[in-house]
Amino acid sequence: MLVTLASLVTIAGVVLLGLAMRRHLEALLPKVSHSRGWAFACRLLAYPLLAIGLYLCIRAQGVGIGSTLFFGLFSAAHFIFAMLLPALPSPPASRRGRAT
Amino acid sequence: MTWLHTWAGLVFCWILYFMFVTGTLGYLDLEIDRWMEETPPSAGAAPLEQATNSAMNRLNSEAQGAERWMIFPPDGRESPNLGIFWSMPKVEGSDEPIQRGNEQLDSFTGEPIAEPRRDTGGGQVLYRMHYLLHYFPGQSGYRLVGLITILMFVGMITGIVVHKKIFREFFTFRPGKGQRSWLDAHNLFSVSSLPFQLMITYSGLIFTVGLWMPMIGLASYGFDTKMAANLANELIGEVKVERTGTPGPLMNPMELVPAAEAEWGPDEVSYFEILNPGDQDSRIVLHREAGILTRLGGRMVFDGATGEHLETMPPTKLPVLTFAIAMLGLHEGTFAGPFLRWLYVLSGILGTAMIATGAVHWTSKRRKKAEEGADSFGFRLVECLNIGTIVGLPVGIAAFFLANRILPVEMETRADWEIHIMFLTWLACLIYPAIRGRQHSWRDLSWLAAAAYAAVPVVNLATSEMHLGNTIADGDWVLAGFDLTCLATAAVFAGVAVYLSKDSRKSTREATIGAAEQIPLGSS
Repeated sequence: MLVTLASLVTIAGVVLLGLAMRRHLEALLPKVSHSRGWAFACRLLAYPLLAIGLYLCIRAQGVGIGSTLFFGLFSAAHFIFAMLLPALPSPPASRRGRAT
Repeated sequence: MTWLHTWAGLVFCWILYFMFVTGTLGYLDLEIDRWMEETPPSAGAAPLEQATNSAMNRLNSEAQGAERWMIFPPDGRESPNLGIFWSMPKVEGSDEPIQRGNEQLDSFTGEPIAEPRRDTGGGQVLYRMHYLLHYFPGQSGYRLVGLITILMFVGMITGIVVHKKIFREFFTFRPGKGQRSWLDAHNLFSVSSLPFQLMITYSGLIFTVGLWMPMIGLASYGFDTKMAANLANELIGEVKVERTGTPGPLMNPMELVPAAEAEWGPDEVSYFEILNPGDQDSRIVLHREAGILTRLGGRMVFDGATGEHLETMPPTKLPVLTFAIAMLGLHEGTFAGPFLRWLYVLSGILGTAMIATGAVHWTSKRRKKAEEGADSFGFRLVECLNIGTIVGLPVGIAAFFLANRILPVEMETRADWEIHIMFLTWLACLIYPAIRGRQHSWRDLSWLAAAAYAAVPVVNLATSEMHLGNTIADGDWVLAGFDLTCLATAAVFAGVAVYLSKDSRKSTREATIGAAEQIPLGSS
């Protein structure tokens, strides 16, 4: 149960890190415009979520295995999210900006 | 820095790829063993007392006069059966090696586990290949692996510096853009599995520390073969007892478990060691369950005849040793349950993909120049090695699994031939691109890999009772998982082959259009 919760929280943290970047926000949520405040807010949520994910992993499996599990979850979540992004429709050329 | 990253990465990247592929399979070594040996599921674990009594009966009948007995009760994935080990005393004045023996027993009945149906190297041979390579005499493979590990570490550290955008472009992957896509993929695979890559490479260096800095150990602990034993005894401690030669009684180790549990807590006894069993001066050592990562537990030493508690030996407190063993534990991942084990496998695959995309990026970056004639031999060589290794090695491994099922069971050298077939298949795949050309070879070998992996469960169905129809019905998900993983691998390679076929047709069409555009209007 704790590991499932840790997985969900870690995935949410990774997705929020992605949403903090202009290119990925435009791909995922085309109606939301990117700003520095948006990026800051996403990261402000993402880092505590990742910390909670780490805490839950350690709570479930102890420090040694728990931290290993967290990094494994983080890698898997990052890889899957990054591979799914190109499958989304591209934002209009006028809205494309550099990744920040 | 870029130069160092490029060449430290490229020079041995095909061996590094081999190490990552076989090392990743090493995380599933016992599961591969079961499939290749056709081992039925374990009967399960008997209670500690029953298992210990079974082991004592067997040792009393098979290993009388031994200097040491060891009893390993069943303990999950790593040791599903009851294990026993014994070593006989060294005969004074004789050059004969010390006689040793070990057996795997059914923990309920105490009977030895039947020999595997198929003689095979199994998953263990794949696992050992990742640090010994194969066909390399003596320690030369190990030394080469040590050197490559250093280069990998250099490549990783320089890679973090060179690809400085990896954190800013944390999720960036732009497919279908040629050279840029390969670089994106290389960066993505690297950054996805960066914690794993750092851990696996650094701990790999710790494995070979004795190889690179031997003088430190040799200067302090001697130049003979006992160096490692001397070092271990000093670090961990040794239980010493002289053999008297006078027979004496021996207690059942189970009688000592309550005393150990009173100090350590319930279920903390891991395994038993008995020194000089049946001698007047014997010792029974109870080993405590080790830390999951550090793998060091304490010990309690008892007099084997009277049960008197003689000594409690705590695990080493040396921080450097604890750190080193923890890193080795992380590298091997033997503590991982099924979910974490698959995360290890995924991280290993990402590392493998990082190496492969780095090698392909090297060629994609230089293709235009090479096709204009500059440095074409070196370029063609790298390209053939890339294709023949990146797709050819998985084809070789599929051939290894197929050989396991196809070679006659009674064939004496079948375990060796499984491996020969794997390497011969890989060799053929290395030669193929030189004959067939780049574009066709990627596609052809991908189709071959898809066909080979799809054939594994089919050949298994024809040659074994442990096929998908039975294993799924029996709920034996280890063996079913092996076949299903082969089918999934086949699907991935088929997907790659379909993509390459479309890409090849598109390139041909573009080349035709390009050639047509070169023809002056009105020339025909």
